[in-house]
Amino acid sequence: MSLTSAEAPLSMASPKKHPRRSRQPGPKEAACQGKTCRAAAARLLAVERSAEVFPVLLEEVVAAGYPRAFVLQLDGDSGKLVPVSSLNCSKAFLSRVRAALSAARDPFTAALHTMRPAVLSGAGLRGASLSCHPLVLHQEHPCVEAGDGARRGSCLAFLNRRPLPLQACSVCGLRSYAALLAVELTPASTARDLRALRALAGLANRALTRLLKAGHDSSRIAGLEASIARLQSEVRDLNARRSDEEANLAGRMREIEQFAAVGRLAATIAHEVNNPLEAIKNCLYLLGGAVRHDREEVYRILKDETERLSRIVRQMLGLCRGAETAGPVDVNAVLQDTLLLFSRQLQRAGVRLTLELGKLPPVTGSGDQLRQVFSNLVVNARDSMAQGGGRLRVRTRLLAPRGRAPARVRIFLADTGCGIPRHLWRSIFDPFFTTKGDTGTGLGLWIARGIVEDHGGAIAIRSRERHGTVIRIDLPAVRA
Amino acid sequence: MTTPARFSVLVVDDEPSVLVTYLLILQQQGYDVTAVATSAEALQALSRRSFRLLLCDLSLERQQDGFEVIAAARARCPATRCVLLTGFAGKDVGDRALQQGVTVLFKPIEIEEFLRIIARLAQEK
Repeated sequence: MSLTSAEAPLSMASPKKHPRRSRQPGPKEAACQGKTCRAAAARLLAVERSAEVFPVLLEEVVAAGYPRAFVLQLDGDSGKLVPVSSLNCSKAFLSRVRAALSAARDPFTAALHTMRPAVLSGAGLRGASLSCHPLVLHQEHPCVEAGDGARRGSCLAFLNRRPLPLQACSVCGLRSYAALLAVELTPASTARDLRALRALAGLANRALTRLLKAGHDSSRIAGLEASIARLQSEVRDLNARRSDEEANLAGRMREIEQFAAVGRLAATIAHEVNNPLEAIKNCLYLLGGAVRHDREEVYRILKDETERLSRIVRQMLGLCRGAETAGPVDVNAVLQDTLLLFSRQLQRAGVRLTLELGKLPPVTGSGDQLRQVFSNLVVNARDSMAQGGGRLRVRTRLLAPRGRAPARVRIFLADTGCGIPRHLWRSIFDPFFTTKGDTGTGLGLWIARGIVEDHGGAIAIRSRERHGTVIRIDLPAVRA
Repeated sequence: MTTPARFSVLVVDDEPSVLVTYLLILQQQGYDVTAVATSAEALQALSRRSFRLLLCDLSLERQQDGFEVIAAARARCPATRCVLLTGFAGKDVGDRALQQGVTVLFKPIEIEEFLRIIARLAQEK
């Protein structure tokens, strides 16, 4: 005999001798003994495990003077009533009961459907009369989880005033049970005895319902405690991650602020230097044809250094130029503009250009500043391929949002130039670091990184000496 | 047959050394150059005659008063080509210049580019 209900481990009790059986009174006598009734009630209510309810009930029934009794329970799998506990029932008697249960219309199931006690007798029972009492999970209140809302109606514990098919409540998971107490009557049994039996069965049912509900509730509480603990640890993890992110963000903000402050300072200086420099450049141009032959070298140095100064000032001014012109920017268009500007130079340097532009949403920022970034990168690529030319591949594509990262626009600039040794990868973004000797300002990549990060993006480099360099820029895309 | 009148240029810049060197370079190129250092002098010069080209610093005595000089030059002769010279210009200046068909050149200016642009403007009818 198998039991499917985990919460109603009702076991078959073997027929055993009741300690009080020696002084067994007749049914009539027992029913009249209010003291005995109260003692039975107290014993049933003192049961602590649901599995003990039926055996105790049977003991009390037999103690009240009935010859034998048993409990049938509805099996969840087969939908049939099966004996789960009995007292003073011989194997032969129980197999007669089983035979009656397998009959086409077994008398017990009918009794359970009406939910009323019934007296059964028939040929299958060989003249015995059985008083049958339904035992069905019966709660007065819906489960806490069902509450008073719309789910109240679906709480099995609340609904189950009638025998339902054995099942778990869809809200709280409580399993129902339906069983039948069958007590063999003696010829002396009266209507009053039957009422006393009914009271006893009702008491046992209430005790069982309470025990099952209490067991169920405590396991639900344990479950809820486990989920609370899980949630707490998730919140702790989230908080830890958030404070990490906040620290990172604060660090990035500091860097950006520093860059902006340096940028402002640089721009201010550049501004002041700009006009005198303009005058010096103009003078050098005017003197171009009038330099004495033996002073030409000095003139050349003067001119070259002034040009270098101009480049530095131009980079510095580029930082504030366009800084205030934030708006939606078409990255592909800015790239195309920049490359068009450099197309002649690239051609002269023997650089072939490949463009693969994906369909992109706009990014928020300054077109002027991004133009400066791309210009710096294209100039670097050109310079890296100055010896013998090469190929510059420019690719853009849209990266889908991942996790909490928004959609990004990715830009690749890959050249086949001289490359950068690995130990210099970190330094190349430092200000005034250059691999170009006197012709470089050492500001190009520093400014490029500053601008890209100002736009909420990131710039990275990969390079192999004598093979080339790949610059990758990611910029957050504006959501369409 | 008379020789065509030389292309007339008015240069306005409040930085004397810059102004003088622009003047000398443009004269070297054979242009008919007038150089002044303030917007008041520029307006005076414009009241006397018209110019084919105006090269004007963006900020003279006041912020962005280069636009006033441009307006005066255009009032005198609507066909006057105008170029703003500046080290830095915000978006508002860029937009305003674009709207008025004014070329903006950022200092430091490559002299070859500077001369190329002026030559192109001089050839425009």
